[in-house]
Amino acid sequence: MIEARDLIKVYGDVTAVYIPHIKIEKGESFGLVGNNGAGKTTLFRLILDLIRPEGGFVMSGEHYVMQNDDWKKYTGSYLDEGFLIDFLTPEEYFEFIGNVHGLTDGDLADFYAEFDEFFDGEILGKEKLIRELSKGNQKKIGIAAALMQKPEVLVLDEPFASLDPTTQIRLKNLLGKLRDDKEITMLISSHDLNHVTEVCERIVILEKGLIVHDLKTSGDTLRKLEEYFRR
Amino acid sequence: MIKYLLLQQFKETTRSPLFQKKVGANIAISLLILYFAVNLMALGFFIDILIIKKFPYESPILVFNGFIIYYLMIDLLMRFMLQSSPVLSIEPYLHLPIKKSKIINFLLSKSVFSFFNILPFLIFVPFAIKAISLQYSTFAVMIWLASILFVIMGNSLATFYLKKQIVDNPRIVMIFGLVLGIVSLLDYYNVILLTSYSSAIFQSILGHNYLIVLPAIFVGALYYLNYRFLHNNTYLQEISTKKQGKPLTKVNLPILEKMEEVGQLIALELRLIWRNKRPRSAVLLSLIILIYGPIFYPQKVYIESFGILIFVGIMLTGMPIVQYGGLLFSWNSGFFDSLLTNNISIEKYMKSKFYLLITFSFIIFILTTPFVYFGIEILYINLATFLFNIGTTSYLMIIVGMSKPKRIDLSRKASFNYEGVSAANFLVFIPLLLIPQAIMAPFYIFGNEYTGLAILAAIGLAGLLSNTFWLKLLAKKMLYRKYEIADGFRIS
Repeated sequence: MIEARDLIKVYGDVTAVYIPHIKIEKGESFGLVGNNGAGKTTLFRLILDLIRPEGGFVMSGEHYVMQNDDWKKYTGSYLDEGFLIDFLTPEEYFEFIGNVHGLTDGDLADFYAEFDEFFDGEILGKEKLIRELSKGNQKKIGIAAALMQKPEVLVLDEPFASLDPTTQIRLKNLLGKLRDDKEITMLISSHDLNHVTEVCERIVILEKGLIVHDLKTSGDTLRKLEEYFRR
Repeated sequence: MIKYLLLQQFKETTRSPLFQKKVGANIAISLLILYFAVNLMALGFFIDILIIKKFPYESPILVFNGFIIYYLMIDLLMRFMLQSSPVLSIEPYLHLPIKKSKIINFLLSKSVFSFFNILPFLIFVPFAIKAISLQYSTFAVMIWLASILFVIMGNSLATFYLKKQIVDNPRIVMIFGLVLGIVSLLDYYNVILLTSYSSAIFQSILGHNYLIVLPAIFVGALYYLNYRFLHNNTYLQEISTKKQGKPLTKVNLPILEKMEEVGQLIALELRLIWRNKRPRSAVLLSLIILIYGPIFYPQKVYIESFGILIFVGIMLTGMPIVQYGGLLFSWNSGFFDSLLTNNISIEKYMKSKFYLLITFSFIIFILTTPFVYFGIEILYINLATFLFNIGTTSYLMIIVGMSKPKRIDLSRKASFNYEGVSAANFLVFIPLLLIPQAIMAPFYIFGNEYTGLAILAAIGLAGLLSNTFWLKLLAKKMLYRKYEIADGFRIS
């Protein structure tokens, strides 16, 4: 579903990302871990065509992401607050995102019903602008908006950070269900090794822009990860 | 400790967007500031002549001292609108083991170094040197200037205090302005003797220098008032400026719904303007420029000059495009990534921007139609310049907006905020004003202005009708430049 080849991104004289080849299959749940500056967000931005690579390419489905916009129709993503329109209310934002993806009013109502539990009464009907909400609630909105259009590809950068415990568990269950349905390709980065091993079937460790480990999640993956990061 | 605080304050200032700019924008902004500074100094230098002309039988110093009270009241009004509250900048220090009194003293003394406190001396110092020093000793002049400094600082502290007490509400400013108007009228008809009191006070300070203690006590009292208030309320929530939670306006325009994706984007942009101070004031500023009409049109010299009328027309209908368009993409800097990753075509995005710009210009054009009262040619000229602006200036501003736009924090204040402004925003006025005049020039010379006007209108119309072609071209440029633009907008 997602494939990158000879992908290079350089900032100044630092190579932020260098990936000779990686392929993420359709329906795969792909976890990305690495310390600060490892290049996780940079890789996601390259996949979402938000930054120009110095070399190589990313393909989504049949197309190069740089040359064709079709992937936007089936890709939901949330990396940071730059994905939110903070002077809108949550409802206005969902309506806008829904509209650009061609959702009907009925679809929107279904979406609200589906995410009612996830929002936990903190998001809808508050008459508040997104910028007046807490970081955690902003993140809930971003994640929900990414899932709203029922994407085939989902890209989330540290989705668990700054969420409250209840929402973390709910999000973990939600992503676990999506993984089991095998209909969505998930790319998730996280600093929380527990969460990421629970949600993802495959985990890649990034260090200084390079892939140093590519693991299939099994019983002792968490132990291996902890060992790697202990150094 | 104070040393650290001052040093960090210095860093905050020098690292603010205003100082981080490229040379070009700095030169443009400095020239603008210099221009106003020279104007104020000239006013201060020649004000005695103006006073003698208006009040030939009175001492200019006496009259000037009488008007100081008005200066102070207008100063207070301006501060109330523009002076920002520095409270938030102490947030990172509150949880550290620094004495509260130190923080408060720092906060209060820092407000002395405000732009507003320098401004008056551009007028007062030239006047003191030229007029007052003729009659009084240098010492008395210094004392007089010191007393002015005290009352100005008093104003600054009073604003600080009042802003904490009263809800920050534009209506307060209007009421204050109204009161000011009524007081001046009463004073003018000698019902109250405000000017006399004012001149009595400052005149006595000139004569009896020890009276400087009065303004000094005034400042001291206000300082103490602020100090006590802050000392009892050093919780951010309590001391930050109160904001009225206003109900959200929800306006749905059916026409925008019909326009589908482009309409959605325009609706988004309209909400952006409505809910954020800075874009709102950029749009409102183009309404203020309508004053050009009543300034220029009634004057015979101007109304008979085609060149001036073209200039006015270009400015009136071009201002909304230039004002809003200068930061066309910067307005969206906070959510640009969202526009790029969602299912939004860049062509339609460009189209929404274009429609928005020409609609602003159209609204201003409609508002200028009453100026036909001054002569039918004004209507023709404004129509031609309007067409020229929407058919050319609009594209020009899209290009300017795309050239290395900077991030703007929409939630920040509107006045004296140059975040995101670059030299291009000033330089664009050169082609804007010169090109139409260059096109008209041969027709001025050979005396066939209306043909020139028709050509101006035709160029605009041609540009407008071929918008699909131009917007496609600009969308292509955007597609290529989007990485650089998005990169400039990101914080991390």
